Amino acid sequence: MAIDLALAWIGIIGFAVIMYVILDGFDLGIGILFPFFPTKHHRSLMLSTVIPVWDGNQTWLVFGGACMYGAFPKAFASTMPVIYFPMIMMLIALVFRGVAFEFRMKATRSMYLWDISFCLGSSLAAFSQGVILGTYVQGFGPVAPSYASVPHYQWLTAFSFMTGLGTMCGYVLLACCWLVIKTTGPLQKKAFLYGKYACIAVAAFMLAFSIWTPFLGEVHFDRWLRLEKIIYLAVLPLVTGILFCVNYASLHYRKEFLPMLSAIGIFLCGAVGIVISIYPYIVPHSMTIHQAASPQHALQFMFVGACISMPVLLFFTANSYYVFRGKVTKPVHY
Amino acid sequence: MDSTLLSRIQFGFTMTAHIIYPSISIGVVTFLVIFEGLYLYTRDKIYLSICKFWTKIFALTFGMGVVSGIVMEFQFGTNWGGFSEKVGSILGALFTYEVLTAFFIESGFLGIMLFGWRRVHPYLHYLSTCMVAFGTTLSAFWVLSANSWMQTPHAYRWDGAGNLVADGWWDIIFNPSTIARFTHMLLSCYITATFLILGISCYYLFFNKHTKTAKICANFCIIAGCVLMPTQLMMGHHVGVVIHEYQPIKIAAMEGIWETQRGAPTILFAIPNQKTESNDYVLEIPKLASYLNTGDWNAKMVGMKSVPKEDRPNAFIVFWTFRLMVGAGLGMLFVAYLGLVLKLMNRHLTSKIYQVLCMLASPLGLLAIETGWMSAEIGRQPWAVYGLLRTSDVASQVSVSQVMTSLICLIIVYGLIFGYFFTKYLLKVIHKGPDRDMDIVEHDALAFNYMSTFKEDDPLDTNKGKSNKRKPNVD
Ligand code: HDD
Ligand code: HEM
Ligand code: HEM
Repeated sequence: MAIDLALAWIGIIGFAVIMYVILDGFDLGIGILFPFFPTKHHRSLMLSTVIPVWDGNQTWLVFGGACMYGAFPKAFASTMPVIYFPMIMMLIALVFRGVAFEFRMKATRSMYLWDISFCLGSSLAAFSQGVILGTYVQGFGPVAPSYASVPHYQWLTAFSFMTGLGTMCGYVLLACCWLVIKTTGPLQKKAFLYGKYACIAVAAFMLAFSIWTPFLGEVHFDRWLRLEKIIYLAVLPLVTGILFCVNYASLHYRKEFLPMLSAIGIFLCGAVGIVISIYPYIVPHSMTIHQAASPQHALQFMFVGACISMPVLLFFTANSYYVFRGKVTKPVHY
Repeated sequence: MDSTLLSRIQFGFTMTAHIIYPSISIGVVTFLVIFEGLYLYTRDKIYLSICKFWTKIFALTFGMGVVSGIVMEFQFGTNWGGFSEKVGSILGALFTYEVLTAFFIESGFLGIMLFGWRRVHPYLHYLSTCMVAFGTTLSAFWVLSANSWMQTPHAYRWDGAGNLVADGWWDIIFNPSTIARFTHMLLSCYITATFLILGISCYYLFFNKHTKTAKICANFCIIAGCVLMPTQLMMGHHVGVVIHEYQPIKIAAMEGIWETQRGAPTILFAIPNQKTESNDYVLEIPKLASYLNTGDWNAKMVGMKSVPKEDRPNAFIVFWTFRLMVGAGLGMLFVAYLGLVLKLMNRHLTSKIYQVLCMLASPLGLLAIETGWMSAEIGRQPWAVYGLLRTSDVASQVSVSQVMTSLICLIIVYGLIFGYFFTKYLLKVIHKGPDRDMDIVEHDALAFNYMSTFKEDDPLDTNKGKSNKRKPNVD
């Protein structure tokens, strides 16, 4: 039996995106949280929890981008120019965020500068990612955009701003859950508290997102609010709701690992929802996965590499988390 | 101003910034592999202190390489949509392999290499350093393979819709110029690092600071330079031969040859003039270019005039960047061998003049890398994929205002971050220098924080290392 390689690649890209959102999500969330943790010691500790792993986390973004480029070049070429501005904004923000790790350790007097750079960079990167997500879910109209005539400012809508803010809250939630695992004492206490706020905010944004999405257009409405589908689609909101309750309760009762697990569950539910809105399109709702895919032999060539190296890479990633396991009680340096 | 031109400026600008950091990182991490190996072998702390110091500089450049690299990748989509669509199934596949085989290896071991001294066994730490070095080298391989394919496309087919698709992956990865250009580039990275390290060591020697470590490094670098420079000269020559075969117009621009002729001269100095299609103020060695490119003094060299104007690259830029690269190479060759001669007279580490010369020569490697890339890339114009796709046909038609905004933002941000702050912190690290006395370390946690985490127990003291592994964070 031949596997449908285009679908397999969607699976791999989906996996990469989810890995990225969860792993870099807590990195970026920590940056967004910085203003709420004003003491230098706390900030150093928070940074120390991610410094040894942030580069690996970000690599999932690079991976997702490269796979998109290689496996679905037509979709990559069609959508990227449309989201030109938020994309460049995200890249610049990631520059500010990334250099802050290095520079902060080398700075003495100007440390506050890199705190600001870390916070603003993380916030803007998270916001831009949300805007990109919103633009994408909205769709690009009845015909797929072309690089030769790029529609301007399609990303500039109320919906995409809403998803931008929602993404920031989501990342904050992940960051709090991460800090709960990695820290102790007053820092952890604060993480529990802010985690609960973030949990409520994320729930509100997800609700708004779910109510808004069906009214974005005919296609979206069709998918979510046709009677015959509504029954089994109702399962998703139900599961998400339960996960939110679990998340809140686990933060309230100071469990250490359950908050992270349930938060990941919430993000997975969100991802499933987005897939339902879009599948089988890759440029919603004008270019399908198969229309955008590279020729079969290219997919095959890449697939062989992915099958061989992905398990090894996951092992490396796990190993590096394993080496740096445990609570961080003292800032790391190199 | 159209958005294509702006995109070209933006891509060239961000690329020029990006390449600085990978080149230094690849060279320095290779240096670290050697010195950490020496440390494990001899267990002499002096090597450890050298490793610790250069790891700091490596961490700094590596961080810059990562953040500027991500910008590169996504610009293919945002600014070069047509390029992505038409060759994505080929180049995208190579970039995917780059991430799969190189970036994940780098990032998976980077944390351990930088922060894992006390957490893992010394040999595992050494393995991490080696893996990072391996990863960076592989990433250079993939990106050069992709770039070489753009220069000398091979094993492709046109599909029905005007896109290029692969016809044999092996031949794409190892296209006619891959091996030559990859070797040339890798040597460039080593050379760049060698001369940076030599320059910084001579700076310490000049001011009589950290002389013990500086002497070791300077000696090592002079030997390395003496080996690397002639190799690079031969390799550069070989690249030229390959390029002459596949991109004759580019070589014509590099050599400043307008008319197709036999026994073409090597031009030492000239101002190529695009309007009159000739060179002004020429100083030349007869017949040498024909000989260098083909091995025959009277061989025929194609001139730029053999193709229409719109198919030629900018003659002036390609000509001069090429000369700067070769000039820098010859300059470094001279410095390395002068060092060898002085060394044989046992004068090299005492001669103040030589020390100053080394300091002046330290940025030459970077200069050669930048100008080498510029002559290779601008020499490829007006093609994005040589002879197949025109740059002007594959750019995204994003609104001029958006590209202008992004370009201005990038220039400001890069200038600030990579230009000002990177230099500032680099100089700060260099100014503080490596540590001579391992005991000072404990008292100066801020300045030598890298060592302070380490000092509490010796990584080679395996018993202690083991007991420490159990409780990594709770000190
Ligand atoms: C000679 C080597 C070389 C060359 C010519 C390039 N790069 Fe590079 N690049 C590296 C060598 C490298 C590296 C040494 O492997 C880096 C530096 C830091 C790192 O993580 O990897 C890197 C980083 C790096 C990253 C970040 C990876 C990460 O997050 O770990 C990306 C996305 C790119 N590069 C992409 C590009 C693109 C699109 C290029 C050209 C068009 C390019 N690089 C030219
Ligand atoms: C690392 C050193 C590199 C430098 C310094 C560099 C420099 C440049 C410059 C200056 C330009 C603008 C040329 C012009 O418009 O006249 C350019 C264009 C370009 N380069 Fe590079 N380049 C490098 C590597 C690469 C690599 C490795 C790739 C691809 C894998 C690449 C792909 C391109 C593309 C797609 C363009 C834009 C389209 C074009 O103008 O052809 N470059 N580069
Ligand atoms: C001294 C004799 C040298 C010769 C004859 C030489 C020759 C060449 C040639 C012909 C190219 C063009 C390749 C192309 O168009 O694709 C090139 C590119 C390049 N050179 Fe050199 N080179 C020399 C020295 C150096 C040195 C010392 C360095 C750096 C330390 C260097 C770095 C580069 C780089 C980075 C490129 C662009 C990448 C590439 O195209 O592979 N070169 N060189």
